[in-house]
Order: sequence, then structure tokens, then C-alpha cells
Amino acid sequence: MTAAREHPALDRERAETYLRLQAEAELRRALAMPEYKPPPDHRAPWAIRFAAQAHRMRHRRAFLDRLMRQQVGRQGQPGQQNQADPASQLGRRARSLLATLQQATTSSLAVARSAADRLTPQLRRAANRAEDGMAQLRHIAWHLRRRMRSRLPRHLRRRDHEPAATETCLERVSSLAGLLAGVGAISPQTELDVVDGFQAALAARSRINPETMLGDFDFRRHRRVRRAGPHSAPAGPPIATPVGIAADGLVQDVPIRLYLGVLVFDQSSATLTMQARFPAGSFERDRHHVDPMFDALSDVRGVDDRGGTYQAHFSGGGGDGHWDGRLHLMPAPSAGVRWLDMTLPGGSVVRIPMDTPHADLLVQTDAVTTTAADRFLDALSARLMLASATDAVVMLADDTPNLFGMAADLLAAGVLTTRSEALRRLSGTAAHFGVALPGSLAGIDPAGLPADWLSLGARAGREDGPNGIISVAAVLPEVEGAQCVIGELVSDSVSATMQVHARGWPEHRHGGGRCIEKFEWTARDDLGGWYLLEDIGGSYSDGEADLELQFSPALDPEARALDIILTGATTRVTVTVPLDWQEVR
Amino acid sequence: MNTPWWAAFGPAEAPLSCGDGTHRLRWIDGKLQTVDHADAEGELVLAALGGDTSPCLDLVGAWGGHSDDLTVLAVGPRSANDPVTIPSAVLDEINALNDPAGQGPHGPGNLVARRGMSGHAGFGVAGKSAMVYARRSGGAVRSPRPIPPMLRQAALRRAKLRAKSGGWTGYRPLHRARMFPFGWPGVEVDQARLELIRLFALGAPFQFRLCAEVAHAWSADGEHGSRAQKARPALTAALAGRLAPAAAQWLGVDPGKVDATIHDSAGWGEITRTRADGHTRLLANLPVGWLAKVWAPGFAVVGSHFVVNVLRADWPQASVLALRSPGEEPVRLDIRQEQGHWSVTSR
Repeated sequence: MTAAREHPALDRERAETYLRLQAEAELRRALAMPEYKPPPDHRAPWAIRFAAQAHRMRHRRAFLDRLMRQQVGRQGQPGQQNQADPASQLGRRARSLLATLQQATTSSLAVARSAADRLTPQLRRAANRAEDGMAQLRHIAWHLRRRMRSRLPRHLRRRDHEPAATETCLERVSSLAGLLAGVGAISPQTELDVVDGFQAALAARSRINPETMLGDFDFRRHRRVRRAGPHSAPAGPPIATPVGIAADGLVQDVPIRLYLGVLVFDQSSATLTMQARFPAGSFERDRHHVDPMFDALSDVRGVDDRGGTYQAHFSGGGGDGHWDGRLHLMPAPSAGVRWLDMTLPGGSVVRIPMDTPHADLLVQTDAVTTTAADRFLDALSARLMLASATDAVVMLADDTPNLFGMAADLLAAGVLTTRSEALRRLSGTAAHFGVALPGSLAGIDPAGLPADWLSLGARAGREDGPNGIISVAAVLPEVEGAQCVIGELVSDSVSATMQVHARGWPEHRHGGGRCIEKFEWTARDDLGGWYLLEDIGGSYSDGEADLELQFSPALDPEARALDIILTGATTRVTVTVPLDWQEVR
Repeated sequence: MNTPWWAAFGPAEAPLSCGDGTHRLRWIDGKLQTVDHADAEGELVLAALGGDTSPCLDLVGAWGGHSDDLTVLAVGPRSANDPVTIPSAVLDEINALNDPAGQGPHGPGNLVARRGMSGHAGFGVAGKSAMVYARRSGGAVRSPRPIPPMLRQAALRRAKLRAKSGGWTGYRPLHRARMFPFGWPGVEVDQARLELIRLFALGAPFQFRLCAEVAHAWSADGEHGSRAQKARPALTAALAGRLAPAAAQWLGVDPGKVDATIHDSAGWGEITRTRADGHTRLLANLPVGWLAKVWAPGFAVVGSHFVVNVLRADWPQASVLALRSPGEEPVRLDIRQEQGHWSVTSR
């Protein structure tokens, strides 16, 4: 459900008119800019290329002629070669020498190969180190060049292969359209129509590559305009079974501690969340080869109580000392299967019970009264409290797009009013960081910041979070078409993450680079500590998403329960999770 | 009697490569016609039966299909100084895509028939609802073949019937909705976009006439006047984008300081000027029809007057209502177009 339906007062016509008028203003701006210049063709002029090709062809013909002459000469004089011929004697000596050399080479090669086998790992390590060093140097050089170029006057900064200046006009229109669609002020179709029309208008005036008239060459936008197709309605909600088993494994003689968290069944798929921990530095990083951990985790197999066999495909990733992700069981176990014996890397077998009842968690549902725009603005403002003062000022006023700009757009489009509480809290946030509100926002009275927001600032950067894992396995009630399953909660001293499987989850939407989520995740512990959750990774496919959400700040080690809150446009769901941490190591 | 929206437009003609030669497309009295297809009707019947069509007829069909397409106003010219040019490379690309002999997709649709045949030579199009399209079968090009008169009449009757019934009268060709890959895998182009580009490639006179036709379709007298409210944001932007350069020419006001709203009641509307913070703002409340009748023919500003309405028009002459400055009562002017420019002949 969109915000417009939720709040009938929202004037969609006004928002669309504002967007289209802004597009007209951007078109006028673009028309004052120079026309699009195609990237220069770095190939040599035609005459030089032709001469070079002719030269190559001459050489090739001469070589072939020489070969042909030699061949014809040999075939034409076979009887003339005799034992007394000095050339023939020379040939015999040459062949004998060649045979000796081949013998010597063969034995030397065997010796060299054996030496090389011993040296290969060391050489590979050295090459990797050298390559890492080169990559770092390239990275530093790129940053240096970027900084130096930014200090040059603008006209000297421009390079032919850089995007046309008018691309910024397109970006602004696209951002504004994304923002308005994200908060439900215009429909996705309107967003698509306006941005496509504007792009075509720029292309027809040669302000961007005219060939873009034929199609959207920009994969980012192409991805954005892609619509999720209709999905067949699955029978019943997903099922989550807590597993919570820790086991030992072995990968290339390195001991691995594996934690199998929650088994989730959804639409003929079965997924087991997992965490792997091992001593840092155990595996040699080699960018040219598949990580041995990935190889090992992709080779997990299983057999159920009925003799059915399964192959697990791993998805996820990790780094030095940890790998996290999911094991997708192929095929999905059928109903009635009671347990699954899984063979882990190194050969150890663990039994996964399929019929463990999940914990009886307290779930509460409330109605939401705020608008999507208010929630969007509040989420960004609250997140500022976790940033440093310098970063906060940049995000408020200097970034592209910045918070003030987006708020001004929402105000001008009629999505927010000057009496909006979210705008007043933004004003209060700006005052908190000592930043003056610009233009149309200047007259907005600052509101006092919520205690939760202030507490975020006070707890930002704390590094005393609990270490452990909890298999939550909570299936939340459906919220506006989305059915979420909370997998496991993982915490360490500096951060905590939570794995969520979601069916009917909307594709990510961006308004000028800012992620505009239809749903918002927050949490509150039993001591009153409030947390923001941010999607830091995962995958999305056909309306199903596997999300990895990170808590900010780190969880309170004294907390004994955590309310995890999912807020949609009209409904808020809260599930209370007891914090009984299980050690992994 | 109301002056028709096209009365202030002169005829326009454009060459078009068609078959082995160069044909002409002519726009006159609000209709686009093929000049060099003597038996356009017969060709249409052939196309209805699965035969091949021609670029001329394709474009005429496309014109009808886009005669109420608001994208035309979003992409089309904002003023005479705002040329919309289609590079030849883009046209070559489209021709390659539409080349039936190549690997490309099918043409923009085969025109079959129209409702309400006019007395003009060639083929005319009155609006999208008059169009019926057929899908080219499997991309194979069939050579025209003679049709028995009875079959010909039956096909034409069937096409007309479908056009009237509205069941199969979609202004989009059946395969227009079908997307095909272009360039990169996964990147798609729709035929409507290709048609629009080819229409704009006919040149500025046709661009302005197509804009006028779309604006008229959404004006109070037009086909979609009753549901123009739904398209109000797009129409407001179209009006503002074209009013701004005209206002700049008239008063020297910054185009960014011009506000436009749609006037949808009796009368020509209102134009006022305000000053705030040292800046002049112009507030204009004009009907959508202003775009079709005044802006598109090119006399939004004539002799330091801003034309707000047309009283009578018979190209190359017209009588108009015009403002000398904002807030004043409009005066009647007689204007005339000579060598492409409109000038006042009497006040």
C-alpha cells in the first residue's frame, strides 16, 4: 500500500506536477550546456592504419613466398642429396645434437619440475603480495589524481571521456522521481514515464548520447525500471525451524567451527543459515582461485531419515576468520522428513532435526500513523546521530543529494508541510549540529530531538557488545504483502547482524543514491536502548529476499531481551527475542 | 463556428525513402497524407491480408497512433529556437532494426484501414481511433499480390467494422507491446519509441504540427478533453515549458520565473505579473488549446504582443486576441505569415 492510499490528503497531482516542472527547468538548464561529444576515437587515422595493414600483408606474403620456394626446391631435388653432401652431413650432426639436447632437457625438466613444485606456494604467495602491493599503489594513485584534478579549475578538469555535464540534469530528475515514488507521492509508472521522457528530450537535443533515444543503455536505470513480475501465491507462510547446532569441521587441515542456525522452508526451497569461524590467517588469499572455504562449503551433502540425498549450495561470503551465509538444500526435503544428517567439510556428520518446535516468541501488531515521507526523513535524520559532526554536516547540506535538498523537494511537492513533525525534527537535528536551514526550510521551527535519537549519539562507537549467536527462527505475520522470517542474530563486540528471509519483499528503490525502503527495521532492548538496522547485503530474486541487517550501535551486553520491529506503511510488527547468546568459538 | 485547431498551419511536406524511390509525405488541413501512393487504400487492404506495407504508410499510421501521445509534448520542441534533431546514425539504426531482410524486428506496424475516409488523394489519418493494425506474420515479407474485388471489399469492410466496434481498434500495433532486444542483451526498445523518433525525423514543421495535434486532443474541444484532468501534470509542464521561452521573448522575464496553470473554464484565461525580492514573476493561466492554436503555428509573440487566442484563422492569415502587457485587456490583431514569420498587418 502506498502512502497516498494511506493518507488520502496526499496530493499526487501536485507531486507529479512539481516533478514535471522540475524536469522542464532541468531541460532549460541542459540546453544552456554544450552538446554531447562522443568519446574520442583513440585509433590511428585511417591512412596510417591502412599503411600498417598493407605493410603487414606484404610481410606475410613475402614469408609465404619464401616458404613456398623452399618447399618447391626440396621436392624438386630429392635425388641430389647423398651421403657425401656436406649439407647432408651437417644435417645429421644437427639431428644428433638435437637428440642429445632433448635427453638433457628431459632430465633437467624433471629436476626443475620437482624444485618448482616445492617453490610454487612460495612463489604464488610472493606474486599475490606483489599484486596486492600494486593494487594498493594503483588505488593510492587514483585517489591522488582525483584530488589533484579536483583542485584544478572546472574547465581544466573536464575530460572528453567523462560523462556529459547534462548527465547531472538527468540524475537530478531521476533522483527526484525516485524520491517521490519512494514515498508514494507518485506511481512507479509516472516515475518511469517522466524519467524516460526527459532522457529522450535530452537525447533528441544531443545533450546526452543521441543513441540513448533508442534504449536505456544505463544498466543502473535499467535495473531500476525493471518491475518484479507477478508471483504465484504460495500455500501458507514460510516455516522456520531452529537448529542451533555448533560443530567442528576441517578445511585444508584448518579446524573450522561451524554454527548451523535456522532452517527456513519457503516455496519449495529449504535454506539453512550458517556461520563458520576459524583462526585468522589460516588460508592464503589468492584472487585467482576459488577460496578453499567456498569450495568446502559448496560440497556439503546430506541424507534424510528416508534415505533421500541432498546437495547443499552455499551462498554468502566472508573474510579472514569468518564465513557467513546460507546452505540451500537441493532438492528441498519433502514434508514428513524428521531429520537430516549433514556431512560437513572435513567429514563430520551432524543431525539436523526437522521437527523442532520454534520458541514461543511474543509478537505484537500495531497500526502505523506516520506517512512514508515522514518515516523516510526521520530515518535519515536519526542516522545522522550515529555520524561524526563533520559527516553529519556533509550529509545534511553538502552531499549530492543532501538531506536538506530532499526535504525541500518533499515540501515543494506538497508531500510534507511546514507543520510536519519530521521536518521539525530535521530542523532540530540541523540545530544539534549547528547547521542553518536553507531556503524554504528556514522558517521551520526545530523540534526537540527524541530521547532515542540522542541515545544513539551517546552509544555510537561502543565496542562492548556481547559475543554469540541466537537462532531466532521467528516467522512474522504478513505485513503489506511481505512475509519475513528472522533467522539468526549474531553479535560481536562492535556490531550485530541479523539474517532475514523475506517473501514478497520489494526491490530496492533509490532516490538519488539514497536507499528508500518501503519497510523499516528498528530494535529496542529491555533496557530501553534503541537501535537502527541497515541492510548491508543479501540477495533479491523474484520477490524473495535474503537480507543481512546490521544493528547500530553495538548491542548492550546487559540487555536480556530485544524487541525487533518491522514497520510498513500501515502496520508495525514487534517480536520480542530473549537474548540467550550461544558461544560460537 | 469554432476555428479548427489546424487553420493557422500551412501545408508541410517531407521526402521519405520508400521502396526504390523517394516519396513525399504531406500534412495539410490537420491530416498527414501519402502523396505518391495512388492506391493507398488497396495497399492497406493488402497489408490487412498479411502483405507488406510501405514506410510512407507506416509513418502515416504512426502519426495517427501518436496523435494523443503525451510523450510527444515531453520530447518535442519548446520553441522555434529549440531544434529537435534526429542524427542520421540513429535513423540508420532504426532502419536496420526494421529491415525485414535482416535480423532486426518487424516494422512499426501495418496499417490496415481507417474510419471516415476523406476525399483527399492518398491516405489520411484523423486520429488514433481510426487506426487498425495487423501483425506482420512471422517477420516474413510477402510480396503484394492481386486480390479479388470481393475479397478486397470484405477485408476493407472487416477492418472498418473492427475500427468501429473498438474491439480491435487499438492504436498500438499488436506487436508494439512486444519488446525486442537491442544492442546489449537485456536492453529493450519499444516500437512506440522508434515510431516517435521517425516522426520527429520528418523535421521541425512536422514536430510542431504533431505537438499541436496532441495538445488539441487533450484540450477542451479535443477527443480527451473530458479526461484531461488525469493528464493535468503533464499538460501543465507542457504549457509551462513552452510558455517560458515565449514569455522571455515577450517581456524578457527569466524563464525560470514563469508559472503556468491550466485554464479550464470559459474565456482565454489570465496573465499577471508580480514583483517580489527584485524579481519579476509571470503567472499565466491558459487553456491547453493555446498550445495547439497559438504556440504551435508560431505566433505566441507577434509584434511585442503576446497572443492569447485565435478568433479566426485561414492560413496564412489570422485574427487573434493579444496582450500588450500582463494584466491588460487583450486587443484584436490581424496577422499574416510571410516567409515563415508572422507579423501584424492591422490592429
